[in-house]
Amino acid sequence: MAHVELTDLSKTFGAFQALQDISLHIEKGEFCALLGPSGCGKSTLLRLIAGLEDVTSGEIRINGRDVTDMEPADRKIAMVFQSYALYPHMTVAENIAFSLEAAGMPKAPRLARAAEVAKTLQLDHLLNRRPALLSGGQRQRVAIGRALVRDPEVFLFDEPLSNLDAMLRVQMRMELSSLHHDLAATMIYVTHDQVEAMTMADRIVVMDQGRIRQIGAPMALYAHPADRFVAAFIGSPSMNFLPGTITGTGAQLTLDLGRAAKPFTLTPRGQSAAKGPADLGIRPEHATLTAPDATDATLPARIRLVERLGNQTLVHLETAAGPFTLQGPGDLPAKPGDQTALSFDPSRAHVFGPDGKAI
Amino acid sequence: MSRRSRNRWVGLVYTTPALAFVSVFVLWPLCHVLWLSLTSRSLLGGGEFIGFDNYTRAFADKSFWQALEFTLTYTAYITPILLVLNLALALLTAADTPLRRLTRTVIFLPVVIGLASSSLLWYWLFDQQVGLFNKLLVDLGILTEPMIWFRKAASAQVAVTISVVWKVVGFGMILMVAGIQAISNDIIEASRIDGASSFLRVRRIVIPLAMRSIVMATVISVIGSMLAFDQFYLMTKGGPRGQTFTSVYWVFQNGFARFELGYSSALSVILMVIITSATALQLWLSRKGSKA
Ligand SMILES: Nc1ncnc2c1ncn2[C@@H]1O[C@H](COP(=O)(O)OP(=O)(O)O)[C@@H](O)[C@H]1O
Ligand SMILES: [Mg+2]
Repeated sequence: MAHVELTDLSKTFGAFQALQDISLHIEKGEFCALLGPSGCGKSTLLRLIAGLEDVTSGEIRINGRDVTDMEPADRKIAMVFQSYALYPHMTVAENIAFSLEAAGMPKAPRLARAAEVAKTLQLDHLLNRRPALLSGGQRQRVAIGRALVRDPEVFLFDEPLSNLDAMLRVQMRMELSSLHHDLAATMIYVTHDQVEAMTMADRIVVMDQGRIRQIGAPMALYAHPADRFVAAFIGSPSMNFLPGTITGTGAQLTLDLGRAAKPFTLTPRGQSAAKGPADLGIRPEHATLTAPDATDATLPARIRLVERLGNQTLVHLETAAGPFTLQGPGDLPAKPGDQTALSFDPSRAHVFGPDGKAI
Repeated sequence: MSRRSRNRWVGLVYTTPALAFVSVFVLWPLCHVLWLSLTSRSLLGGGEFIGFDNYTRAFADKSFWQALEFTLTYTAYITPILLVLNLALALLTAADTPLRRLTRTVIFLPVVIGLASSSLLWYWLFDQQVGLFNKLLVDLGILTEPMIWFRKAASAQVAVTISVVWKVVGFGMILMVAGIQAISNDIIEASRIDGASSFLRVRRIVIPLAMRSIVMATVISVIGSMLAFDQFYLMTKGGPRGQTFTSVYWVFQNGFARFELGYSSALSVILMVIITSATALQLWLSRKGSKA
């Protein structure tokens, strides 16, 4: 039995369908990321699980209990809001202890418990401060402390790092990961940042327009995106898409990328293919530069711009099939204006049919 | 001209209309009253500078202090009634649903009626022979026969209080609704997840976070009650036996019934000092309270 079970969840706001037929099983102790562009319904799904929003249809079970119609407080969940939602007029200690106060615990023990939690989050010296006097990272920690003190079955996070600066975000990412490791608790984590999802999650649920597009472990999604949307959303810089035509099907797929290019052959992975238009998907790091007349040259290209980041180089190219971004080592020999050619590794190439599905 | 001094001039130009308004309608009358209070001016003109004579007379004027005592008593009982009703109505109608918006509008409607009109309206509603309020109470079995509300000071005050509460309760309610609505939804939701009951949420989250507007509504209602006049002038005429004379009523009596403009100005100045100090005290107390 999964720890959190969502069955055929749908949610409408008036006539607007925010979520449609969401079914998802999350195992005990799993770190599950809900990933998708802004407005795709991630927060709504999290709020349904939290009980802050009523489901339109479907069922939510936590640890085997049907919680679909339960009050948030009775679901044994805790939530960290994007805005942190700390109580501004209460001290750090009172913020952390508030759920205990609501549960009727007397003042002395609940403040002692809050102090204990604060200590694990290195907040013990701030117990009597108000949130307004804390830094972003400290507020974040208080919000986590408020969740921890309830000892919940499931932790819910709604883009908790999006208000932090880049450096703090990296640090908090590691802290959340080690928190997950230490507590071995089930965590559901909403983000639109694929880096957060990739680095922290055991499993990623990619969402778009109120539907689940694909569920999988980070590297599985990266290596085998089910469709063009997932392929484009995961990975940075984003995957290149070159429009082409399937001219040969069967055990080997032949793809024609237009004039200038040589036909490209690869082994299909997904559904069966038909002849006709299709997109070739190549990740920036899965292409190499080669001489235009070399045998492995597939597509002639001209270098437009070279960005050197030290440990890697991003090369922006123009090809007859459209723009292309390539990622190579820091010392990659390349300069703007060079005529060159792209070579693709067929085992790491993706083909997407006209419906966007991987072939 | 340096940029800075230019900015200063531009700022002054922009605030001129407001400054002009305040000067003509606040500062000038204030100075005029201060000056009048030092004269023996009559409403018909004349009079001369008499220094602080009006003030020494006021301090010895038993009727004035009685009126002030009555005003303070009136303020002391109507303020908590309004505070509780304001808050209760605000809590009940703060959520933005069509029904609650409608309720809010209906409760707010009397605020836009003049106090004088509403006092007259209620005077008739309380009338012993034709008053609908009396009829209602009799029909409901609360009274056995229509009563004469304005014969006794106590029942007269009840009548005035009912009419004033009806007239002004919407104002404080709207201020508090604004304060409650300004609380971030996330915070309310966080408290739901933390398991707070409605009562705990109101006590520990909503009231503290809406405190500014609660204090503001209370201060405005205290000032309004200290300046009470229309309702008593129109409903009780200060009676029975002068038991419901308010301070402003006494100022009015001296200025416009006895024509002693200079003396009534001095009374106004004393009243102004008292109300200003009371307001300052309330704001100071509330600030101290929110820091603690
Ligand atoms: N209370 C609501 N009323 C109406 N529409 C809403 C409400 N909450 C969310 N939506 C809509 O549902 C969609 C998904 O919102 P949300 O779950 O917040 O997206 P995400 O968190 O993925 O950015 C958006 O189009 C949003 O406008
Ligand atoms: Mg969101």
